[in-house]
Amino acid sequence: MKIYVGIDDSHRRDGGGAGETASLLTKVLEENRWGQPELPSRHRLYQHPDTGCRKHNTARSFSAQIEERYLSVFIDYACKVVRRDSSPDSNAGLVIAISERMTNTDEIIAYASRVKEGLVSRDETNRMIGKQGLHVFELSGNGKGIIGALAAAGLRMTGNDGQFRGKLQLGSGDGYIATVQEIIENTHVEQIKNMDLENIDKDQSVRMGEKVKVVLLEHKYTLMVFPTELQYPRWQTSTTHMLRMF
Amino acid sequence: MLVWRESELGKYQYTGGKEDWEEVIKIAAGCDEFLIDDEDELVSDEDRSCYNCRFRRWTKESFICMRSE
Repeated sequence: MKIYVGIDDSHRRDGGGAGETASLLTKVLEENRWGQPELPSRHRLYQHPDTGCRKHNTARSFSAQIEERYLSVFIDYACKVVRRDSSPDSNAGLVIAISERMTNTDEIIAYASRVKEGLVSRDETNRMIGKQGLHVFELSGNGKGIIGALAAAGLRMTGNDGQFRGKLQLGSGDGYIATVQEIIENTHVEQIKNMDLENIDKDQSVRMGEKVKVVLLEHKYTLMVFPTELQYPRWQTSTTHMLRMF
Repeated sequence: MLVWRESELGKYQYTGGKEDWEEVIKIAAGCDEFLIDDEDELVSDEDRSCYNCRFRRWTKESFICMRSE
């Protein structure tokens, strides 16, 4: 079965954080052969003035194919890890959404969009908690972490939000020039788009930057590029600054 | 120019907003407490920037610096 895991607000100022927690959970899933995870992603949420002093307003998620018999052991393990990795003053939340058990996945997707726009109320969140196919856990603090965790799971489900954890490595790294086909064949990237979201042909050349990040678009690992204004290579991987919208 | 304004929380909010990319690089260069954040939280191409610092907390218009002083 396919699950979507959302994690929010286990950030520690002295290191670690929800991104590392998500990476650890995917590793454990794989190593124990409980399931096959996809890479974790970071999702930007609404910047409410009241959240300023407490946290970065982002949440993490990943999807995975998991064998049903391992679902409960994974959920127990995930709860323990998120609780352990949260700082005493944080509001950690965890969500595991099982799409095939949900009567209407559009509900969590719509909820996630509303969280991203800063429009969600606690009552709406309470209504989401009771939905079939959703396992929702308030693991520390005032419980508000479940808002971001639900949103992260929903945004991941859209297939059109977030930036993946880790940096893409290919060839000799910074300055290496590869064709689109070489990138697709030798990395997890599935498609390459320019910043106008147009697909780049497989014979086009791309200069790899120093810090190459991959984003989630159309349910695919997507590498974003921008034009160099040169004949060769025609494209350069998009910078951190350019990708801040994802 | 006033760079920081004291917020209601007793910490300092940057008055230059979220798109003052060059200036926050200069501020971070002179800051002894700069600490780069988790890779997922970086938004500036220049690593040493207040916008990439573990001690910044985003607000609607800008960010608050949570460093100890």
